[in-house]
Amino acid sequence: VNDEANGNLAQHDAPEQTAVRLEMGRLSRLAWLSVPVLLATMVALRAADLRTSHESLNLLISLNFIFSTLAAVAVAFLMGRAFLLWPSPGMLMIGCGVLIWGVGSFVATLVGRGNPNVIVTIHNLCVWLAACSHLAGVSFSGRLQQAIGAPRLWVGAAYTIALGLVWLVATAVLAGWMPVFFIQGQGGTLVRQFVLGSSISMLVLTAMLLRSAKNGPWSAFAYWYSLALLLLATGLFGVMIQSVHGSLLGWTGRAAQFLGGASMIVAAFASARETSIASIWPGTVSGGRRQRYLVAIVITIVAAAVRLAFLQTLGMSVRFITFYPAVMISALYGGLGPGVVATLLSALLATFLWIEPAGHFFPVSGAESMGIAIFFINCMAISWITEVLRRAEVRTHKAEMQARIADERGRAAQVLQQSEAKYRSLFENMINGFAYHKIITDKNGKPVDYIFLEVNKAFEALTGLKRLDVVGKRVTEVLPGIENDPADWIGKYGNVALTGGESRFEQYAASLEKWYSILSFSPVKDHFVAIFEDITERKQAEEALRRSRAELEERVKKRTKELADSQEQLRKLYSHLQSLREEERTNIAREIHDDLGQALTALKMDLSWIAGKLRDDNEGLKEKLHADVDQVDKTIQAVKRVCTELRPGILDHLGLAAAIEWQAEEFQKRTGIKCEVVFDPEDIEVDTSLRTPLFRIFQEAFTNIVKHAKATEVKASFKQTNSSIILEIADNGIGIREEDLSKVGSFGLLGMRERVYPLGGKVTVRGIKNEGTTVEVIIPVTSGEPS
Amino acid sequence: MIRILVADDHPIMRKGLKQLFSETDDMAVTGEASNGAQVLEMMSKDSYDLVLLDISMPGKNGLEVLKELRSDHRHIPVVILSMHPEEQYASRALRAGASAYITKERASEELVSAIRKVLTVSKQ
Repeated sequence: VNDEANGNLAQHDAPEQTAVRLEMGRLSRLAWLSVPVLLATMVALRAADLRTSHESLNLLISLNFIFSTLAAVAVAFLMGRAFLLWPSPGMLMIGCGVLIWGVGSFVATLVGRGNPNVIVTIHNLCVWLAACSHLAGVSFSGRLQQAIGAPRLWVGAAYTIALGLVWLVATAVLAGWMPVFFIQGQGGTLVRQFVLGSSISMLVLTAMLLRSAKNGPWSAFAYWYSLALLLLATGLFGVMIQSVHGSLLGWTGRAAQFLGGASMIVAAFASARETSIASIWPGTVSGGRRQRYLVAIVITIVAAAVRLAFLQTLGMSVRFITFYPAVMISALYGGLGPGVVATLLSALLATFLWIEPAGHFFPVSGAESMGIAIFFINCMAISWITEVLRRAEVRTHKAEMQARIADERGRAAQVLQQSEAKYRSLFENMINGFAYHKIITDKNGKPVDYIFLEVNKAFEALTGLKRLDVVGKRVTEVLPGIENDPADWIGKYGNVALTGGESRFEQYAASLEKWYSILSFSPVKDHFVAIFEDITERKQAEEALRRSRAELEERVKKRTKELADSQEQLRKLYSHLQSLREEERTNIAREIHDDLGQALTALKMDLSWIAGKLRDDNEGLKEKLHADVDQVDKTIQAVKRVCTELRPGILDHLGLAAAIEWQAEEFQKRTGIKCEVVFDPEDIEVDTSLRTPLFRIFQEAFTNIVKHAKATEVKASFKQTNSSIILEIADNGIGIREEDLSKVGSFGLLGMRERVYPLGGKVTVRGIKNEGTTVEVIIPVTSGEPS
Repeated sequence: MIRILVADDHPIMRKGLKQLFSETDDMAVTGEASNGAQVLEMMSKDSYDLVLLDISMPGKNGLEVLKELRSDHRHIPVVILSMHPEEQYASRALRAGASAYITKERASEELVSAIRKVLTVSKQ
């Protein structure tokens, strides 16, 4: 029936389900053995017809609360939650049914005040309602599941109704509206047998329906819940056939019901896990072996104490009443071993405390021995079944986990596969060469080689090496001689692989005759990745550029030198021309002066002589002669002027100081500008080679002053120190401007510079606006001679 | 008779001077030199009362010859007869030991009287 409801989910979870069912198969089937074992026990007890009552209301309340009420609440909660997720009325009905059963059992013992009839009536009626509800629930499950609004309200309402029904039943029974169900000593009335019989039938049917519908997400729940229902049915059968309330048979029935409750709890946990709510069931049994045994012993002792302290009224009867739950709890908590220990300890304690003769461990009477044996067998069976249940549960859980992990792994593998495919494609199609290597070191940890682990297509293209020829091989095999490459590839990569760093470099690979730009890093220790590109062309272009630059520089250097040479030659030529010119001027001046001048002077003397010889009466002739003498005089002056302008003889005859002095006087006479010259020392004289250039510079300076300076006064000084000769001419004119100094047209300055250049001297011209201009010539000399 | 050594590289000048002195009664050109070296040579051979030196001469110029004469023939007065009217010449010649400095332009008018004056001074 559930198939229809859970089909969609069943499909989705199919692999997990298969795994779970396979695991559950053999082991969990063993849990079902408890049903026939319990049935057989009950039949045996009925046959033995032990009629003593071992009723303990408190114990019954406690056990009912634990195994019925709590289990019922857990299942009801589960159903309610499932209904919220997945609003199927069947679930809500099962929830209501289990709630009526659990709460009804508890309420019955609580309000019954020890009256067996009341307890039995309330209990049985509630069971009947619960069974109806279950059957209806399972039958309705999967129908009408769509579009139920406000599911919370439904859950609340349904559970309220369930609790209301319990209250109604209890009230009705207490009010005496119900027929008698049970007579102590005789057993159930016909009504009761009918009610219980029908309940058992309904529960068995429900269990069978559930069992057949264990597919889907509720499979584990359905499995354990159907077992719980069968155990309940078995328990009810036990109490149905009892004749005395509280008899051994009655307790066995109750125990079966409690086991059913435990099974419900298992179902609840299984369901919680199935619906992805963290399970606490197997997790709690995580204590050590010693702890589990210790818990068993403690629980057993507590059980003995409870029996001694609270159940004094029972006297020597129902000795094992508290030990059953102790064994069950021990087995549930710790498994078979602790269960057996609890059983043994319980048997010993019961024998020692309650069986005659008290204080001894060995019973005397055969009947007592048999009672102990039955208790022993029961408890062993309980322990064993619980162990089976527990193991099955653990294995189921494990299987589920494995299935889930496998599923997740599968999904992860798929994602990984996709991702790998993506990266593989990227790796293969990247334009950079990629190679993954493992470094090999010698005994001292020094890198000596490396192995190619993987390379891409670009690697092949960029290196010309084939993938098949390199992968798995050492680099020294692939590129013999690489260990001697001055680039130290192995050392460089070794450093990256061993230190886990990163390195970028450009390097020429001698073995491949190519340049590469490389990024190397180490993703894992001793391994490294090299991503690279071929930059040979770029490097060649750079090299060509560098070479052409060097060539250009060389050419420029050569041209510069040529230019400097030619400039030097030009200077020499200029200097030579200057001296030639000077020489020529000197010669011309001398020739004119000496020959023409002397001749004229001689002529003048002759004329004067003739004039002296003439008679005084020859006035006309005398006058004429005087006029001629004047004319000759003028001519002499003109000749002198021309000669002096060409080259002042004073410079050659008297030296530079005299020439300067004369020039200054001439200047003052001619221009009216006051001129003062200081000589230091007074009798200063310089080498003949310096005369002409210094005198010409001096003249040029005066020419400039006349032309541009607008000066009224000139102060000149001519000094000689140990290291230099300094000629300075300073005027008080307007001052030469900076821009005029560098003017191409200022040939005067250029001429000055060119004149001192061959002498290693320097001309400085400074102008201060409206204060004047200073020309300074410094010629270095060593001990009075120009250097 | 005053014996005069005339040193001038221009024969026309020497001729003019000889003519000039011939006009006087007590002066005569007894030696002629056309360069400095010749002057020194003649001075060492013959005796003169006065030397008339030109400045511009080939080889050693008049001033240089004057300096040498001042060391070897200190007592013979030297008169510089030069084409150069510049004061620098005169001052340097006098400083170097010349007894007088006369420009050739003024020779006709001043030379004879200058020589007389020089000789008068040197005799004192």
